[in-house]
Amino acid sequence: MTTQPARPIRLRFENLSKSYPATVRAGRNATGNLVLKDIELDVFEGEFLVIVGPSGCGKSTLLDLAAGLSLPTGGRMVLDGRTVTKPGPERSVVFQNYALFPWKTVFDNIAFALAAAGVPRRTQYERVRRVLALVGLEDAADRYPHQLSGGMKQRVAIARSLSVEPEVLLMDEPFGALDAQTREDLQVELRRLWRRNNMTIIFITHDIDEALSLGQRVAVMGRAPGRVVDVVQLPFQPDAAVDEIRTHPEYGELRRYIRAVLSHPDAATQAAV
Amino acid sequence: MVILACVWEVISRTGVINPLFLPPFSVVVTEVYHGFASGYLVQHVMASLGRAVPGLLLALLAGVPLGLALGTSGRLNTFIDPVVEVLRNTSALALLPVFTLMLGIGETSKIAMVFYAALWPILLGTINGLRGVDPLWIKAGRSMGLSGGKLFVKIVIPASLPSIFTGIRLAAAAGLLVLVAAEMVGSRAGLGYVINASQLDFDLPGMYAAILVLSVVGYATNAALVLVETHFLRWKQT
Ligand SMILES: Nc1ncnc2c1ncn2[C@@H]1O[C@H](COP(=O)(O)OP(=O)(O)OP(=O)(O)O)[C@@H](O)[C@H]1O
Ligand SMILES: [Mg+2]
Repeated sequence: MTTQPARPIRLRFENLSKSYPATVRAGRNATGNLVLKDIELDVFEGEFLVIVGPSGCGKSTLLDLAAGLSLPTGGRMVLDGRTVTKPGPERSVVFQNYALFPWKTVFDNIAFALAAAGVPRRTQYERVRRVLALVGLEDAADRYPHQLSGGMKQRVAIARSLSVEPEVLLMDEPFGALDAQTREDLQVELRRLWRRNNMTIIFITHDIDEALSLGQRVAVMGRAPGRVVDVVQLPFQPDAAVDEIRTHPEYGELRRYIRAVLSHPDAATQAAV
Repeated sequence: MVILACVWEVISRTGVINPLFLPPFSVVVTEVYHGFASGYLVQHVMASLGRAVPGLLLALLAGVPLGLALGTSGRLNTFIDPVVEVLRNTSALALLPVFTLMLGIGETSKIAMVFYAALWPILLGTINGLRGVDPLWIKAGRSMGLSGGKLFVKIVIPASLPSIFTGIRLAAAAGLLVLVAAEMVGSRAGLGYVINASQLDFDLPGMYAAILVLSVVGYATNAALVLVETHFLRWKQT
């Protein structure tokens, strides 16, 4: 296949390991709590990288490390050549369980993120309106999270992350609770935003079709311990429509391959594609 | 409520319970009216409130910050936890003589008793509130760049409010209960005193009038607190 043009590396998982302290019950078995083992992964400037992996393999843990919300127990997390030790304004996270503040309205949830990012009050209103329009929730601005459906909450969470116009967007199964239609709309929207704003995106999903239609590369993870089994370079054009991607001659083969690697990590050929 | 009043009226009028021991509801209500008209009950209600309100406010001012401090500091918490457990299970009523002994029978000892009884629910409500803060909200706040004090003020405290409010309502009820008991034993004013004194004078309508007023005060206090609560917690699922 085509060789990668030399692109600056934005995020680098450098020989990264993460283990949680042993619980009393788990005893002294050191491997019992090793969640991520020797993760080596480069994410390029402006890249859309999708991570797929079985439940519990450590995807969320990986994202926390990239966000600077937790520190690795081995190796290091690098952003633009510097070791990540804490969250930063250039990174924004969409959490798996929305993480909306139930005591704030939709509007205030988003304005809160803007205020935290130091956006002056007078421009907040405009920006909240804009991202709400983007996810089709202008009418829900004054509602509280408990008055929203799961899909709506997820869209608010996405809007909140986009509102701060991050350079690096870390998304943990952000479309999981959406119906097929909304999901596809937002996939298209996200790809459009990514191309336009030149964001670097790490997107976690367990849906292979979603991985194929969104990303430029797909990192496939295995579990126990969590590791990157293979990284698949996708042949689709960045500006290809989702429909074009799904009818691409290589789509079916790629889909089969990723499926195989997910269920049998040994099937990974590393050099494949 | 109306039904309860009717049942009361009927069982007393028909003599199911001797009207001497339970005067009809209408008689008691008339008594309440006279009590207020003459200013006699007003004076005692004010005396009780004059003890309950400062006691509760002091408990609030001490309990919330103390609870926040205990709930946040893990080490302090494990250290203090047994102490709190023992003290809160020591009934304020049992300590009544102690309070009287140390602070006399004046206002100070009454206020101190309300304070003591109200402190624990507020303290525990605050600590529970902190324990119930979803770590995910903290994570979200941190990912937005918040840390330390800002995280605490903007996320931890609002997230703990529901439980703090529950504590406040329990505290008001507990404070009132203890206050009445204290007034019965050693006081020359307040609803507790009126209840006790009327009973000794065999002025049963007067006694029931005071009890009725006490119930209404308790009910109104709770209703007022619920009102404040719904204002601050309008985001809660109803
Ligand atoms: N705070 C923690 N303490 C101890 N173990 C943890 C902690 N957080 C996660 N783990 C463990 O780490 C492993 C990976 O968890 P993680 O949430 O990263 O998985 P995941 O790939 O995101 O799963 P899913 O697809 O279900 O979201 C799990 O076995 C989990 O039990
Ligand atoms: Mg996860």
